[in-house]
Amino acid sequence: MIEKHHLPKVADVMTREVISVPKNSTVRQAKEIMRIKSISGMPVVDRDNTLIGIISIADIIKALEEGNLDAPVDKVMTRQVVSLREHDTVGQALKVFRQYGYGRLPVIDDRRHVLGVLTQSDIVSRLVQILEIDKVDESKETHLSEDFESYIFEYHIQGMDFDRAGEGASTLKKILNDLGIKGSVVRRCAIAAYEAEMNVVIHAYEGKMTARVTPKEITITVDDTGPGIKDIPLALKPGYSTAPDRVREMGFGAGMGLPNIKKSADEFFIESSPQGTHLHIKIYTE
Amino acid sequence: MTLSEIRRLLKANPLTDHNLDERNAETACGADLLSDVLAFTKEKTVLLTGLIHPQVIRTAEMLDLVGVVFVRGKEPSREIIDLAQAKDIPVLCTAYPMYESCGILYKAGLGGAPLD
Ligand SMILES: Nc1ncnc2c1ncn2[C@@H]1O[C@H](COP(=O)(O)OP(=O)(O)OP(=O)(O)O)[C@@H](O)[C@H]1O
Ligand SMILES: [Mg+2]
Repeated sequence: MIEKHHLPKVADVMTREVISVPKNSTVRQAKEIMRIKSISGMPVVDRDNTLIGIISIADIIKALEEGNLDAPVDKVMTRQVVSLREHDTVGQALKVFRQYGYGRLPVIDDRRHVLGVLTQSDIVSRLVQILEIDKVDESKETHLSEDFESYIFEYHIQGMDFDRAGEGASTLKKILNDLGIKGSVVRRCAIAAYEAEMNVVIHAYEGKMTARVTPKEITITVDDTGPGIKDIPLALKPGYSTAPDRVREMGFGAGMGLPNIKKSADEFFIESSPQGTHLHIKIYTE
Repeated sequence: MTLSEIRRLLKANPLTDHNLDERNAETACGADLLSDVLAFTKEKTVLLTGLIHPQVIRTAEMLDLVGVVFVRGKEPSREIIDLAQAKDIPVLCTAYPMYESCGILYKAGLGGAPLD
């Protein structure tokens, strides 16, 4: 039996080298730090590293417009700080990111001392590292298909996020390889998962991919939050695509994704409404 | 045909750090539409493409492609090369345009994939 991965915590994925700015620095200084470090925001701290606010590019632009570049940062910073705790799970952190739409969040202790910062890309890259570490462990213990009953994988997909598009399918592929699933089966799963993930990135607002792996079959579901597909039989026709030009320039929009998912799968089911699209596929391991 | 042979034939520049002698392609695919590549490519394929985008590398990763050749001298960004290195996909760059690149490899014996 493969043990379920312990739920990763914010402490496992956050960046500990925090670039913060003392509250009496000027906006101009803050702007320079952010430019040099190419970051989009920083915690503003008191003398003893206590969090008192966040300064973002938006705050700086506002200060610029108001001719406030030489004001201390604590005059222009955002005071309503949404923060995380070290023991929050990564899932909880993702929820906070989604709810507030911030790019980076400070991690603090009980006395509001800044311990780290977290961005969504920290989460993805560290999780990939964690998975890779597990791969090494697993090869030592040689887990093969008979050794596990079921394995659950979950991944959040952000619409229009082309930088990370494909990382979900990539992670799933790695997991399937590690579980000892046959290469040709992994390949079909990877293709289907990748096309489905790209469809959410390109055509939907956001979504979630889950995979349930057993020694007999892999079940992948992809759910998104809309706008849905009006005419499913039409969307399933090879060559039909509503992809905008910007997406075609990236090599997508051939109208081959859904037909290819269907071709790769042993079972294929899709339903859709303006509230979202639900895709369910099964691929047998034999 | 090994990637080092392909490199020689196309006078290509390797952009990633890989031992090209060890990578063997049985066929090639020339395309700019990634979903077509995803739908029709067999294993042990090297992809020739004029499309410069990180998703080319993602596609190569999903399909376990042998490597990617960017044609017509288009140079991919650092980001693309780093991703390719991280995903273990050898990347080459040739000055030949798509048609010539495909023709040179075909003439040298690298055939197409059999039709289904
Ligand atoms: N998750 C989704 N939400 C809304 N519309 C979708 C979704 N998935 C597919 N569609 C619609 O179905 C059409 C066909 O999808 P399909 O994946 O076959 O092709 P494509 O995404 O346009 O191009 P390709 O996949 O070849 O890059 C899309 O153009 C889009 O209109
Ligand atoms: Mg698609």
